Amino acid sequence: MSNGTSRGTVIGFVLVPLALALVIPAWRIGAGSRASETARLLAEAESAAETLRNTLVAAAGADATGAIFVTLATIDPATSAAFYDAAADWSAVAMRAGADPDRLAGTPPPVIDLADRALADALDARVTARLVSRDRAITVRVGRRTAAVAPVKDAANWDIVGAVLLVRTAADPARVPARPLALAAGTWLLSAAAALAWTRRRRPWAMALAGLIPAAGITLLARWPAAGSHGLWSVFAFAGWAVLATIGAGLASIAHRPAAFREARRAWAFLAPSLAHLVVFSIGPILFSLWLSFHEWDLLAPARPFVGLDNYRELAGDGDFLRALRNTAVYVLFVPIGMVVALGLALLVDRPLPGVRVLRAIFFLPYITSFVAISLVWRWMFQPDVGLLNNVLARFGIPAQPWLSSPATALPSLMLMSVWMYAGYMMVLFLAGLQNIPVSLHESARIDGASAWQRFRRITLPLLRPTALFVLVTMVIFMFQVFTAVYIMTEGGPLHATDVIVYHIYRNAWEYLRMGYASAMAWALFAIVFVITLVQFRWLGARPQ
Amino acid sequence: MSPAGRRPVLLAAVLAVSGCAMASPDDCVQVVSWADYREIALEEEVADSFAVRFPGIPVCFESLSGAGIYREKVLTSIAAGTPPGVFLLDGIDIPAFANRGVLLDLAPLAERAGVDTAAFHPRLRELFRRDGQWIAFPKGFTPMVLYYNRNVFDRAAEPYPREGWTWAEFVDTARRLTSDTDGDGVEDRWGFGWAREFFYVQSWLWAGGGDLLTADGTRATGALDAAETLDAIAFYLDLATREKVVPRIEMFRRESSVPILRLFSSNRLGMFVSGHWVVPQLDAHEAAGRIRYGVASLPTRDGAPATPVLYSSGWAVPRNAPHRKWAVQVAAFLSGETAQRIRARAGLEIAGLPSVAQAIAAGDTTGRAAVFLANAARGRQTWGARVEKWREVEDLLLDLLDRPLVRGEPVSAVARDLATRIDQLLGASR
Repeated sequence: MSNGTSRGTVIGFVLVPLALALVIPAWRIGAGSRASETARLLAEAESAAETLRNTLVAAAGADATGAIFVTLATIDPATSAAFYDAAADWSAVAMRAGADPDRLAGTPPPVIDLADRALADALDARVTARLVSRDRAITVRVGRRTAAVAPVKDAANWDIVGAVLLVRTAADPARVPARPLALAAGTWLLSAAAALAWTRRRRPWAMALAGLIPAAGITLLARWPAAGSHGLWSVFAFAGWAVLATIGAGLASIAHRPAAFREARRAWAFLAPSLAHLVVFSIGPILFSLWLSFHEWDLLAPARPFVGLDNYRELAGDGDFLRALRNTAVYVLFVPIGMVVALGLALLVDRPLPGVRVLRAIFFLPYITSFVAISLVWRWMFQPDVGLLNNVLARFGIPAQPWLSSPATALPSLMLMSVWMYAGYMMVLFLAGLQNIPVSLHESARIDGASAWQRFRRITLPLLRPTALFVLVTMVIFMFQVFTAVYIMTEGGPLHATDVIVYHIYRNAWEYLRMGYASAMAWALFAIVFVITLVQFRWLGARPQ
Repeated sequence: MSPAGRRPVLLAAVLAVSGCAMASPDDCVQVVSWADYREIALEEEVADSFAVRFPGIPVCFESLSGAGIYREKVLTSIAAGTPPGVFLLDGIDIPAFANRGVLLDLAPLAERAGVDTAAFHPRLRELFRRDGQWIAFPKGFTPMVLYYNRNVFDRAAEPYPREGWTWAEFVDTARRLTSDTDGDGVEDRWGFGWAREFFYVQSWLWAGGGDLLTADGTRATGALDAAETLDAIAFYLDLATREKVVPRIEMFRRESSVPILRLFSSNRLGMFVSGHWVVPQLDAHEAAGRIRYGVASLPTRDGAPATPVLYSSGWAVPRNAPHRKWAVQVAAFLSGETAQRIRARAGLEIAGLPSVAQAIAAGDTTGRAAVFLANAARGRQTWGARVEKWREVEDLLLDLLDRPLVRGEPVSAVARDLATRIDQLLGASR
């Protein structure tokens, strides 16, 4: 049972998904290669159309408007000359006859059939209809055959006066894309052999091969000539497969324990929808940004060259980025300050005071208020002349502060606002931690004569440590991504004093259109936050004795 | 029917209703712009006129106000292959869009669409015609001019600004306008509304004989650090630091947040520099009897006629737009006489067709329209219309005034440093 279950799991979770992860991108890459071949044919058709138009204009000695013709041709050098001649003759006749485009649009256009009469008839109506509504090249599929349709425009490039249908009946052997599907099949077979070997022998090398072979196959597919964006999709498919394969390997390893296996399988079945959501909306975009960071990509330019690590190299010497990094690090320092304030608030509202629930809600309100609204209100409060804060200070005889107008005070002002904004959230977490501390510990300490400070120092603080670690780690991660307040309140000023990393990324991506470089910054930010989080866990995560 | 049985029916009904509510982008030629609430009403009127003229071409207008959001949305839609049929192209985005080949060349289509390109203002023809291609049909433009508050000038018994004003006269006037009117020891009326953004500063450099870049637009060294430019920057800074004829800068965002219009409309500011787009607000204040205002050319160092910077926009068609022929027809109509006449009523800009602009000027009894037209004729397009990395350059240029103002750094050192950085930026491959 266990071997069969294990093998079934590997097949269901590893091999079937791998087949899909390999075959679908391979098929798309093959189609993409064929599409690029079609594009080449289309360019040839447009060139032919241009020749035809010139011939028409020369033959008629006037504007070609009024002549509509549809021509079928093959990309076959032997017939192309006859095709041009016949098309030109016919169109000239149509034009001389004073063909009216409006009238012709409603009736089947004349067709010169050089290749396939049945195909011509089938294409006739639909091509005409589509050309009337759209004025650009289109591709028509009839059965298994694809026809690229190139519109022929008049001298002013305005009205469509005809069209060339280019039916690809025989592709150039030199341009036939190689076989991505064959590569996919080979990869799958090798990987399947390795995976099945692992289920029988449990050898680590077999498992490693089962992972490495698809990785190698996917890499070859992704770098396939003319793979285009389908190469990227093959990477995504591989990532999806890797997730499933990991689950499958985990399940297979417990296949000898049927109860645990069934429970794990059921758990993964329940997790599947949210996992799919994660893969599509989180992991996919994350991988896409990784891909972007190795490219020069500016949204509009068609060329998106691979630049390797250039973006990361440039980052290392980018003073503006390093300044933004420093500003962000300083900004994050408000977290420990905010934690102290939040702990104080939590201790305050942890008492059975009248109206304490209302007080808790008031403290928590800023966190659930729109950050944009908060930023706008605080921007007004920070105004040097008419702002609330300076007016309050003036009542106590304290001189007006520049707040957001000075490089020295702008970032601390934002930190001050952040303490106010997040203290309530941190307070709620600390409150939950405080209420988890057994009352008996405090009571026995009190009986032993411990003072309030000693109880706080020796009981409350150590037992709050897990809560504090959670607050610290999550808030640091969150605050490294500060954006809204900066965007609304300071726009990075004055003199870049509040230019934080995410705002810097935003400017590079959307103002300077440097998406690749901005993605590299995003990954650098990820690495920094990751390391800081590891350090926090290592230094602060030890359990209290 | 049981509740469970009703669920699929309800679901189907909801889906059907949602499906009905969703309009297909292929249904109409989508026109997007950054029109504000005043312009939207006029654009709807333009759309009605278009529907009468071209009943077979459905058009839907969409306003994405907020410059940053607007640009992001247009860029994303073009990149995603679902571009609008027509969009309003800001002058400073011309190089970024045109150099990437995402705009349809309208030159061969103009005549068919009924556009007489020769009829547009020469400054706009220079801007939108690049290498023989028309990258957009002009909408309108504005020069930066000097607005002055007649009430403030009259109360201070100062003569109004005149053509041929020199900087020395301007400073003297600003000094005399600046005062503590309520005697509390704090100035509450200022001569000039000072702005930090290079957007406003560019004209002052030209008025002093300086410039930001060399004539070919490739280098800042030799221009930004030239003596005339440094003098012009120093003159402009002195207004805030030495002469103190300007309100305090309250914020150092990319936009200053100095409440210039608020101060001007409450008769606490004598002069400020801006484009035509503030006219509707000022007219409303004037109609309400709060202010009386006039418009003049910028003063120059020696009193020579000023060359103000021009800001323009036009209707562009993405190369991958759906219904391209229709879209070109719509763009042509939007820049045509009917649309420009309707839009001119908002007073946000000078019409791109001189015939329309002159007709409006002929009916203007305040003399302001004539000043705008004279300045438009002398004006120069912003460097942003030529430099692809203009947004990065403009970001750097915030430091041009901020570093001397905030840190007290010498203007010459800042200008030299920025010139070097701009050179690197313009010369960089990426």
